[in-house]
Amino acid sequence: CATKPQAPISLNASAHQAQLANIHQWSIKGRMAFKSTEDKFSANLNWVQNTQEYDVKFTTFIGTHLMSMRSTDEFAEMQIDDQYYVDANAETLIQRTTGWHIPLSHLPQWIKGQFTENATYRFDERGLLQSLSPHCTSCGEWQITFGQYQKINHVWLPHQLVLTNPLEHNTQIKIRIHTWQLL
Amino acid sequence: DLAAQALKDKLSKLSTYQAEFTQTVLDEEQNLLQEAQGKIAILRPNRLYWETYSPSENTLIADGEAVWHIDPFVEQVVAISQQQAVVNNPVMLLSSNDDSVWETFKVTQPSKSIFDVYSLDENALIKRLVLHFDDTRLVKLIFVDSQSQKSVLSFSDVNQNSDISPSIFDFTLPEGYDLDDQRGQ
Repeated sequence: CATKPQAPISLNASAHQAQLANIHQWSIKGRMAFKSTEDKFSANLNWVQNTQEYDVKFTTFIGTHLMSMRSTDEFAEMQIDDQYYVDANAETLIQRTTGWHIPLSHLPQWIKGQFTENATYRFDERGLLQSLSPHCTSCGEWQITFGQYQKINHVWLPHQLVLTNPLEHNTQIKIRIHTWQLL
Repeated sequence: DLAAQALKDKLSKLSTYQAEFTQTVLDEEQNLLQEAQGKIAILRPNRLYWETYSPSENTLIADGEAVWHIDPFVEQVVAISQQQAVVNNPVMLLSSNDDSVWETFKVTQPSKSIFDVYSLDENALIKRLVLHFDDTRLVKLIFVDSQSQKSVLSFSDVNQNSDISPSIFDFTLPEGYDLDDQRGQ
């Protein structure tokens, strides 16, 4: 589909994006909810990013393990209860084991509020990313909105992301970040 | 055995239990995964109220037959039968004086005020529980799950055997919430 020409991004938007692009090691703690017409599910989320690699842990609200997953350049591995799974990449691994389709390849950038190439996007008046339609091959029709920005060590970081996918039984993924840490 | 009986006696003396708690959850490598504050109320036998405060609000109500998990983040309540819950929820153990449940655990008493409880069922979610008492007051509960994830609950403002209005254990579906009723399964 032809994307409408994007207005050139403002000075502070490009400065902020450059700041985000320089953040390679971070961690977040919060909640993640996954809603589709058939299923609703939420868990505590713990995500540790280390350049290209990340470790994600989902726990129940009483503190027991639900799922943990590690993604590296070469493979992704996952532990659910006592089951262990491996796959070429995290996206296919999660889809195969849980049936959820989560656009994980770019999620580490989106979590920071960083936009990806040839997407359509909108910034707020402070130059912070407000919404994004990624149009990337593995991103499907996901649309993302960003909110609750707070300054963490001099960097504006979002504390709420909502991903919606109108084509997939209007699936929605909501991420609320309680604590941001730049490592 | 002696330790199991001693623990059951201590717990059976708690006809009611109320406290505030702070919780920290650590993974196998002792990384901090989660922190929460909240409050707990127990009315034996088998009624429990468990609430975590913002930012991660959740409420669990066990009314004797069913356990209701109220999750504002997705505006949903999940209901499961209480027997199902006791196996996987260490806090439920405290409210249960059903001997058959306790038979699936081995209890040791490393000191007068500490009980170390191991699950004998190798595919149980909760592998181990440690209960710390200060004389008769339960002040700390540690549990370790099958992935060696450790949760430490420290209790404060502990109030035992004072009356609790049973109405706090009554569940009503909040306005606009979905109900995912898994009691049948």
